[in-house]
Amino acid sequence: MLQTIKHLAVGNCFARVAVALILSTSLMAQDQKQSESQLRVVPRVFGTKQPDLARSPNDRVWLDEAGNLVVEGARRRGAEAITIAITRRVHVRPIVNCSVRSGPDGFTYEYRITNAPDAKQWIQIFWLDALGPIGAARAPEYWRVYNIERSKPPLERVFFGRDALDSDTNRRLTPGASQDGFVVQSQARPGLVRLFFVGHKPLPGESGYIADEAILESSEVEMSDWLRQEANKYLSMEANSVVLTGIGPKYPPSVPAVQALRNELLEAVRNPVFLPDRDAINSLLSTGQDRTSLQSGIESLLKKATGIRTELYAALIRHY
Amino acid sequence: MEVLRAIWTVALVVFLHSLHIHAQPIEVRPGEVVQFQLCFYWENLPGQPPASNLDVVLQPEVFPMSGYHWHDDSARPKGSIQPSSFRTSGDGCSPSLQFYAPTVAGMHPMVIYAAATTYNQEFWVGAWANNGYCCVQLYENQDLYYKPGGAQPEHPDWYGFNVSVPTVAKMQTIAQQYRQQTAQRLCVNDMSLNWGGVFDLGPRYGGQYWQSPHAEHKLGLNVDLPFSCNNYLQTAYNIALANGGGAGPGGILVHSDHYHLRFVD
Repeated sequence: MLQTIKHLAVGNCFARVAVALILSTSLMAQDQKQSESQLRVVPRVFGTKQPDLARSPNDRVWLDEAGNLVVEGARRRGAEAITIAITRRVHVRPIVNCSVRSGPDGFTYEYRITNAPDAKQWIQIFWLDALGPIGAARAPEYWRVYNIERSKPPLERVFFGRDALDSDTNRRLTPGASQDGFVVQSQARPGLVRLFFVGHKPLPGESGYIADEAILESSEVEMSDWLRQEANKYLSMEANSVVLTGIGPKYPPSVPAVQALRNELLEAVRNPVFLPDRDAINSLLSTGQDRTSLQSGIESLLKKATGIRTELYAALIRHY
Repeated sequence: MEVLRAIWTVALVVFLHSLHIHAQPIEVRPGEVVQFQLCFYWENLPGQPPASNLDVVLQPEVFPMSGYHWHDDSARPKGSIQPSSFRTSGDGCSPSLQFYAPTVAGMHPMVIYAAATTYNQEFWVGAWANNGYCCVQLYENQDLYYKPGGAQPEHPDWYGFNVSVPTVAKMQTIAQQYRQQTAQRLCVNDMSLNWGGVFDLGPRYGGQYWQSPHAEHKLGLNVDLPFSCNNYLQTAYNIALANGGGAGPGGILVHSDHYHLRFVD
């Protein structure tokens, strides 16, 4: 049997070479004609582009009330239309508390992370987008600083993730749990930054595993390129996470204090969390042109503030 | 088989050298569209005037076995050209033309029929087109190894272990970190073919030629981490995410038996 297969393979290859040589001879003959031709052909390339993505009339992608992805318009190969439901990694309810200390080496930002009791997933990894240079970072036991990504300056992205056996539940940020000891050190002064939290989805072999994402890339399922692209938008790294505003390294020492203070107030104005202070901040921005008057106004805001508003105002008074 | 492959390579090289190419091949990435124009001039007339009102027909073809696919059949996609026929205008030029490159990588001669003669313009469809970073081999080392098996004669020479240049560095970092944390080598498999494009596995693996079991794996930006040979899956996920393995559209995809990493260049 093996011998027969070998003979067939050899025969097949000889046939291919023969076909190729015949084709070569034929095209060489055409080339001979070309050399006698009176025409010169000049190509001009204007550029390349992505083709317009085909979209079927029934293609739809949306997030349901729970924040999970629903994809309509795909079909099993040659068969009935299917609706794909994909659980996203957004079922965590993080609460971030940050304390900032200044010292001879710059600023130490220490974070306490809580996953609220109504969360449905535990926090597997999270990252902070700092805008100032990060000197160092450290994590508590069972956690690790996975990377400080510096590929898009001035953005520096610090990743904190679980570092334990998959089955180890120690210090997991399960619903209702808190963990402190996430530390970032930087020369940069504090400001509003974004933190991204990614929930854990059960893997194959773990209870609760559903092969929902795999359907998107299954060879058994057909869908338009448009549909796949739209679905991917909701599953991309930043979109498939819970994003919070917190305090973090923002302004290198070279940035003038007044400029940093005004920038932070301007950023606060467009943040929904600061809605109660919007009018007061706008008023302060129109009148406060120096550090003393700005910080005086921020003192007034601090008296009525809670949560992240307290953290920001306190940082703007103490560290500028 | 090796001898036959060598014969075939020599035949292909002789064939390619024998063609009179009028211009450099036009490069395009798999699945992309090239916008171009052809202008015709009477070479033997004084001043080489434009060949206006010339009827031209274009036909895309494909060189067998090109694009690192050591297999061939009539179903291999050739791409398409729109419009495929036209009459040149007063300046001897065509209207704006578009070559829709197939998603399979390869070398595509476009046969130009004009003035009772044929001409040739080649399109090379590869993920490396237009100074792209794909594809170079991601070598095994002390931190990283290939999942055993999977080599096949249709795409030889470590057919599927190619990625873009930036992805090589990121994967090396991921593998190094994984080994430091777990004391184990990272196990990887399917990435991209040498020229990128559709990663077909063919009937041997229950698929079809020119059609991909992978919807992606075309530009050297995807790497699979099999669950069967990696023991620390959460750790692998976190390391990959923190080092660019989830930066591409859709993030890290969790299959039933592997992670599908998505990088960007």
